[in-house]
Amino acid sequence: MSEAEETQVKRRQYIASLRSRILAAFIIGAVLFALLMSSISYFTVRHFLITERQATVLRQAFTDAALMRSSINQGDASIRDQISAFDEVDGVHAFLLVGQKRYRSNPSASLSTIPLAMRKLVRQGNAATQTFLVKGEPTLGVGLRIASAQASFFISFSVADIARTLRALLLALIGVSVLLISGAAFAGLRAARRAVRPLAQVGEAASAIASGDLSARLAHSDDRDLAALTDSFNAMASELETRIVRDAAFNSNVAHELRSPLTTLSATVEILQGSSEQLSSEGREALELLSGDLNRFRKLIADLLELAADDERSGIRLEAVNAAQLVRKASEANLQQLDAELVIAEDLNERMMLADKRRVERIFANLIGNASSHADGLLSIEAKCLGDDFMEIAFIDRGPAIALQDRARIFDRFYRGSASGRRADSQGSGLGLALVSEHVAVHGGSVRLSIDARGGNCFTVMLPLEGVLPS
Amino acid sequence: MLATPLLAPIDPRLTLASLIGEDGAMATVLLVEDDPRIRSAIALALEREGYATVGAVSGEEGIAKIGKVPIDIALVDLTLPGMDGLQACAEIRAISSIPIIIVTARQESDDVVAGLEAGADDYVTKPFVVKELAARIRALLRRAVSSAPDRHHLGELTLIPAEGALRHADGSEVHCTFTEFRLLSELVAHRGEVLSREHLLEHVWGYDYFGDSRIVDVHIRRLRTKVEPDAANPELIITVRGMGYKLEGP
Repeated sequence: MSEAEETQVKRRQYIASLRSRILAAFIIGAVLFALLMSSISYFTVRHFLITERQATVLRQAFTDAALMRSSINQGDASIRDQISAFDEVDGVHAFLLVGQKRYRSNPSASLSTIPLAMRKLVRQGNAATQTFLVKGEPTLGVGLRIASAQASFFISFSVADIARTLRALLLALIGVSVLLISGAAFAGLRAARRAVRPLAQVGEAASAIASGDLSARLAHSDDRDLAALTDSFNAMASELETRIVRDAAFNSNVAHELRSPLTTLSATVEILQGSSEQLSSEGREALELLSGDLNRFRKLIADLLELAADDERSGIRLEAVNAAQLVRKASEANLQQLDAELVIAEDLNERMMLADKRRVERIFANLIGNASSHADGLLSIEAKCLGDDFMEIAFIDRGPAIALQDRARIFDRFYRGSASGRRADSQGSGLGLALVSEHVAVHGGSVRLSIDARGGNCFTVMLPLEGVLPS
Repeated sequence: MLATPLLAPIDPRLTLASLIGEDGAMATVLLVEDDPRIRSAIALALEREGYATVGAVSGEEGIAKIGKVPIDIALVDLTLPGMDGLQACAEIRAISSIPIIIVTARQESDDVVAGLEAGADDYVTKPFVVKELAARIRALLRRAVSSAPDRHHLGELTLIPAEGALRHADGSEVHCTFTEFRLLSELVAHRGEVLSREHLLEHVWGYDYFGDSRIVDVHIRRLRTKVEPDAANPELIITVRGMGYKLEGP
C-alpha cells in the first residue's frame, strides 16, 4: 500500500460518512430547536402564572389586613375569631404580630416558616412578598405593616397547584421535544438516503462501466444540482465508450493489416523451405534466419493480440472441463521433447472446472517454453487440489534460479530480465509470462514465482475449481 | 430446408470419389480471397502440398466458379469487397455440400460463430501455416466412416451409410453437408453413448483436445434442424450438460 493510500484510509476512519453527517445535522438542529422552544414556553408560562397569582394574593392580603385592623381595635377575642377564619381555606396560614402578642390561624402553623428577612422588612414598615418552601411545598408569602396598630400581618398561600401545572407543562414539553427529535431523525435519515442515492447510482454506473458494460448511463435528473453531475458523468461515459470502441476498431484493423502480409510471408517461406535443397548454402542460411524471425514475429503479433483480448476480457470461452484431463492434455501438448515428470494428484480426477481450454494450453506452453529457454529445462509439473476450491499447478525447472531483482518484474510486459539470465538463442517475445499472468487472471486465479528446494524456479499457478464431476 | 438452388447442385460425391479414388487424384481447392498476393502465396503452397487450386477475387466470382469447375473444398476469406464472406458462405452452402473453411483475422471475434452459422465447416486464423491448413483440408475431405452397411433409423429418417444418404420415409433425400453426415455417422456409431465435444472434434474434424468446441455446437444445432421434428426440443440428439452430446438409442 502506498503512503497516499494509507493516509486516505486513515482519513476515512476519522471522517464519518456523508449519510451519518446529514443525519447528525438534522438531530443536532432538532435538539437545539426543541430546547429553545421548550425553554421559551416554560419560562413564559411560569412567569405569567406566578405574577398573576402574586397580584391576586396581594389584593387579597390588603383586604384581609384591613379586616384585621378593625379587629385589633375591637380587642383580643375579635382578633382570634378573625384569624382562625383563615384556617378554613386550604393551604393558607395567617399570622398577626401585635406588640409582643402573636396570633396564628391554626395551631399547626409556625411563624418560623416566614423567612426572617421578610419579617424584618415588614417590621420596618414595608410591604413584602416572597416565595419559599414550607415542608417542601412552594409557598407565596405576603407581609403587610398595619401602621395604625403597630402590627405586622403575614399570610402565606401554598402555590403547589402552580408547581403541579408547571411540572405537567414540562413533561408535555419534553414529550413534544422527543417526538420532534425522532421526527427530525427520521426525516434526516430519508434526506440522507435521498442525498446519497444519486451518488450510489453514479457508483453503480461507474462499476458497470469498469466491468465492461460501456453503455451504462445515469438517468437524466430534473434536479439542477444533480443534473450537472449526471450530465457530465454521462458525457464522460460516452467519451470513454467512443474511445474504447475506436481503440478496439483500431486494434482489429491493425490485426488484419498485419496478419494479411504475414500470411503471404509465411506461405512463401514455407514454399522456399520445401525447395531449400535447390538453394546455395548462403541462401539456406538466409532462409533459416528469415523463417526463424518470421516465426518470432508471428508469435509476437499473436501474443500482442491475445493480451489485447485479455485486457478487453473479450473472446473468453469458459467451458466445464475435467481438471485432471485438462492438465494432462495441456502438458502432453507441450511436453513432447522435454524430459519432465508429470504428477497429477488423484483427487483432481473427479473435479470439474470452468476453463478456456485454449488459454490454459497457452499458460502451459509459455511456462514450459520459459523453462527451456531461460533455464536448463523443466523438472516436473505437479498438480493437486488446494483446499476445496482451487487447483495448484507447480512448474518446477532445473534452474538456475532467476535473480532476485528480476523476480518482482518477471510478469511485466516486455520484461526480459538482466542479461546474465538470458539465453543467446532466446526466441521469446518478452510477453510470455505477462500472458500467463493475464490468462490466469481471466480465470480468477493467480500465479507466483518461488525458489524450489532443489535450486530451480517454481512457478505456481492457482486456478479455481468447480463442483465434483457429475456421475 | 435449402433454398431453391440458383444452379443445379453438383453431386459432391462425384468429386469426392475422384479425390479419394485409388489413383489419388488431386482435390481442388477454391480460394476466395481478394488480396492477390495472399491468394498466389497460398495457391503455391497448397500446390506443393498436392492440391489443385482455383482462385476467385470475390464471393460472386467464387460462386460462379463452383458452377463451372469441379471444386472439392472452398477457402473463403471473411473480409471481402462486395458480397462479404458470410454471405458468400451462405450462398455457396445453398448450392453445394462441399466443405467450406473460413479465414478470419480475429479468432476471438463473433465472426467465427457467424461464419459457422452461415454454413462453414471449419475456420483458420490469419496468419496460418499452410501445412496446418492442408491438415484441416485433409480432415474435412475424409470419407465418412461407413463400416456398417445396415440402415439406421432416426425417427422418421433413415441413415444409409453405404449410399452416404439420409432419407425420409418417402424416399426423398435430406440434404446434409459432408461434415454433417460425418458428425451424424459418428453419433450413430456410438448410439446411446455420451460423446464429449473433444471426442467429436477429434473424430470428425481431426482436432486435438484444444480444438474450438464452438465448431461442434454450431454443427449440432444445424444437424438438429435437419433430423429433429422440433429442433428447439431435441429428442434425438440430446445435450448432456457438462459432458457432451448423445444420440438417443433406437
